[in-house]
Amino acid sequence: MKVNIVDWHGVATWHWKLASNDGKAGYVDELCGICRVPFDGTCPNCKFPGDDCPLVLGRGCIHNFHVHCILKWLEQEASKGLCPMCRQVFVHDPEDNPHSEEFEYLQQLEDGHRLLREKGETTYEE
Amino acid sequence: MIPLSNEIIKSILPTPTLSNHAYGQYSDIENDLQLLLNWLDPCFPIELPRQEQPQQGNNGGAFEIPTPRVKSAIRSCLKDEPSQFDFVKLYCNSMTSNFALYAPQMLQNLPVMETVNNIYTIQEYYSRYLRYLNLNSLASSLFSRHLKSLFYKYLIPDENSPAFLRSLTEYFNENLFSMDKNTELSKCISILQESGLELEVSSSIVSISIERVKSYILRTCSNIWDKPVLQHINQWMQVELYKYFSIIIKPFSSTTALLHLDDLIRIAHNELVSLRISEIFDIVLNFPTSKVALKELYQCISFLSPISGSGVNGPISNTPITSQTHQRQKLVNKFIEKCHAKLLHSGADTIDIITCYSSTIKSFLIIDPKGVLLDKVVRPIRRYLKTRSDIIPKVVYGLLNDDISSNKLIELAQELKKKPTFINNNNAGEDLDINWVPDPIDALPDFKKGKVSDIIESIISIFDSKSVFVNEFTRLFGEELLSLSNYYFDEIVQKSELLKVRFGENEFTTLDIMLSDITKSKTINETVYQTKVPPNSHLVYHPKILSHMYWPMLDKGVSTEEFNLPTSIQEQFTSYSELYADIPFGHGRYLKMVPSLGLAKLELEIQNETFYFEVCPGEAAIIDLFNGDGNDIQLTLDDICSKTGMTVYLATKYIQPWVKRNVLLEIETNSYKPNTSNHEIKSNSNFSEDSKNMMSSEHHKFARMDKLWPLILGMLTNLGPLSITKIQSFLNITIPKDQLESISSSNLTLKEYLDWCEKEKKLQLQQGLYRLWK
Repeated sequence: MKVNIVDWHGVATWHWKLASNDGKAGYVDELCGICRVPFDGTCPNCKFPGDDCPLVLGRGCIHNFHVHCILKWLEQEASKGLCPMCRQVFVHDPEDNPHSEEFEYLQQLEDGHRLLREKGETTYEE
Repeated sequence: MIPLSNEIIKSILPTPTLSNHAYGQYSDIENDLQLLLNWLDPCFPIELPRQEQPQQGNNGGAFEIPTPRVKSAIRSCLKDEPSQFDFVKLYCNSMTSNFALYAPQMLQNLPVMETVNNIYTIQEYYSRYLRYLNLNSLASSLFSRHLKSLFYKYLIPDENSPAFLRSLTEYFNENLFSMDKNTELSKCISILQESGLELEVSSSIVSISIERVKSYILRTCSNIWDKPVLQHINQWMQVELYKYFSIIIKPFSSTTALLHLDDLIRIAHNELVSLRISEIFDIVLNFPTSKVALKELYQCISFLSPISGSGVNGPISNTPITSQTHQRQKLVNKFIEKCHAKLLHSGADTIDIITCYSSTIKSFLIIDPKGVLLDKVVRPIRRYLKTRSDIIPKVVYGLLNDDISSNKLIELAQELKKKPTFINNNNAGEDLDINWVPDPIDALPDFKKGKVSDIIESIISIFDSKSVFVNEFTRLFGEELLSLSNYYFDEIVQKSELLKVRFGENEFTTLDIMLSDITKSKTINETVYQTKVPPNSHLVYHPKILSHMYWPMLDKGVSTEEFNLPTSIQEQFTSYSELYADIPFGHGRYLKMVPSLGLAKLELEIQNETFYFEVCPGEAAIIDLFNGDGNDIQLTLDDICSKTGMTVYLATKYIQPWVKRNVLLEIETNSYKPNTSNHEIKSNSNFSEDSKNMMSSEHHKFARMDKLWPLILGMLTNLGPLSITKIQSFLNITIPKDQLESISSSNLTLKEYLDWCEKEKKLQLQQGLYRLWK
């Protein structure tokens, strides 16, 4: 008997590759640290998961967030451009992310905070 | 001491009568008086033979035409008013005493007609005398009143046991509506009426007529719901009943007791309503056919029914006409009572209750378009439906399935396609509605018309939250989406749009995500195949890529089965995942395979013949193990398990279908080998039947029912062959109700299961009795 597979409609699920999934750190949180919703879900303001509500991977730290969540955080002056989880300076990993308005805006915010920090440091030195 | 009473006084001082004046002195006046008295004597027509016709009452010497001498005596005796009055009083007194003597035998305990004739004789007798007495109007009316009161006294001596009235009613009952006794009747009626019995006569006629109407309506209208009857009744009243009526009634026309045709018709309508109230439950059950009856009921019961207000006069107001409000209440109560008795108990099928519910809504909207009655009657049904555990799957199935033959609630599916008559917009308050009208006067406090008048809305609102339905929809749609063999789901989109209108846009977030997953999968698949896959490679893997958090079925049931797919597919998946990570859609993401879900299309080459199969992945994984040029591959169950990584249960489950299709042969227990001959191989091109809901085989379909098998086996061993009804009732006794429901909730009847057992050669069906296969 010969079995010939003509067509196979399989089912698969997609998952975000999280920062340090590659084993740099042991434990990776499954939930967004800000909205406490799993990464594979959406931030509270979005309807469709995936492309419409992408993920930001931290480069400085191992923390990941929904892009909309971290934008809201960084928009606040009080955030000082730090990661809300570990208080390191938050820098996202540009390699892993597509170029879109959201990420440009994220870059702007990060840059703004960096400038503010540098300014603060210079005034302190003086 | 003897109490002073009328009788004692009378015994001492007898009432003066004419005879007291009989033998006085012979003056002129006395002489005149004597002549008059002689002429009047005996003051009662006793000599008249009863059998004779009263018209010929002149013979027998009772009445003689007064001689001129008598006439002059009358003139001289009754020349002025006071003497006339005195005379009439005395005359009446002698009449009274004569009545006391003779009336009982003339008027009591005789057949009606004889009594009536005697009354006539007496009347006639007095009226002849009266004619010559030339009394003035006051005196003569005094006389006739007295006469009437005497008749009344002797005809109806006792208010509580009116023997005469009873026999009169009987007599009317027999003869009222036959043409042949017409003259006799109308004469009888006019005589009785003359004798002061108008009220009694007319009320008895009216009650007889009402009886007639009642029996006519009962005879012609009960259980006739599909033809208009109102018009017939009206016609019958006019042509049949009123014809006699008008003849009989003619002599009445001067009196107040005139029976109007309008009133009769109103009585008839009331009777019809009473009849319909008693039938209401069955009328509702027969809904589309009973539409006509419902419309007529509406005509009779609505407050606007066009009946003139002439019912104030006479006997009609005494008849028990129930007011419309009362009847509406009675209708509601009767229906609810019947519902409880016949429908709202555990013996009734949920589908029947839902069907009845929807026809209740439609029927009662006809009876009462305002929806007040409906609001009242559906409350108990709604309360009961809420307790039914299987209502949600049944309703959802009914809403989504368009197949008339298999969907018993096809009505719901049809209803879904209509525009909703009611959209629940709570945010626009009632105060702002410019067309606001107050609720109907008899509505309950929380009455809301739209909530009950739209069938789907009405069913949905049984539950406080819509999410129970939405979850069920999502589950069903999800299964349907996963069983697609392509990426096209227009039908599902269409249905979900219809549902969104009813349930609200926001309820279907999960479903929207599921649909968008499939759409994206399609795009991804196209992108992958167009840009990444070299055209000459033989990739057959087309995945559906799901957002795993939004597919409720991903964590349970079939989807959790783990096993290895055929190596080629496994490899293709790996390369597909790599390609996926490369395209923009897959950026930053990776894929995980759900091996057990999906659909495989296979071609089996057996003895140079190709067979085409559409199977689930598990089955495909099994049969792929037997792929080889030679026909000598033979695998045991253990081999299969170790190669595919399946559990024994899974492996058996997926081997069975192949054995049934005769593709694999079980050469010895738990050892299989491919069939070498290509006869008897059943190709399943109609995939839908076999593995629609991923429950791929028939065997699986009945897996739940298999719990019943030991019971049936025991039953048939111990009791011998049984009919299906016996089996059913035994099962009902032995299994707790909720468990039985959960076993048989998958739309399968016991019949189907038994038939399947028969096909499986477990049972034999002989003359309607199931017996064990020997």
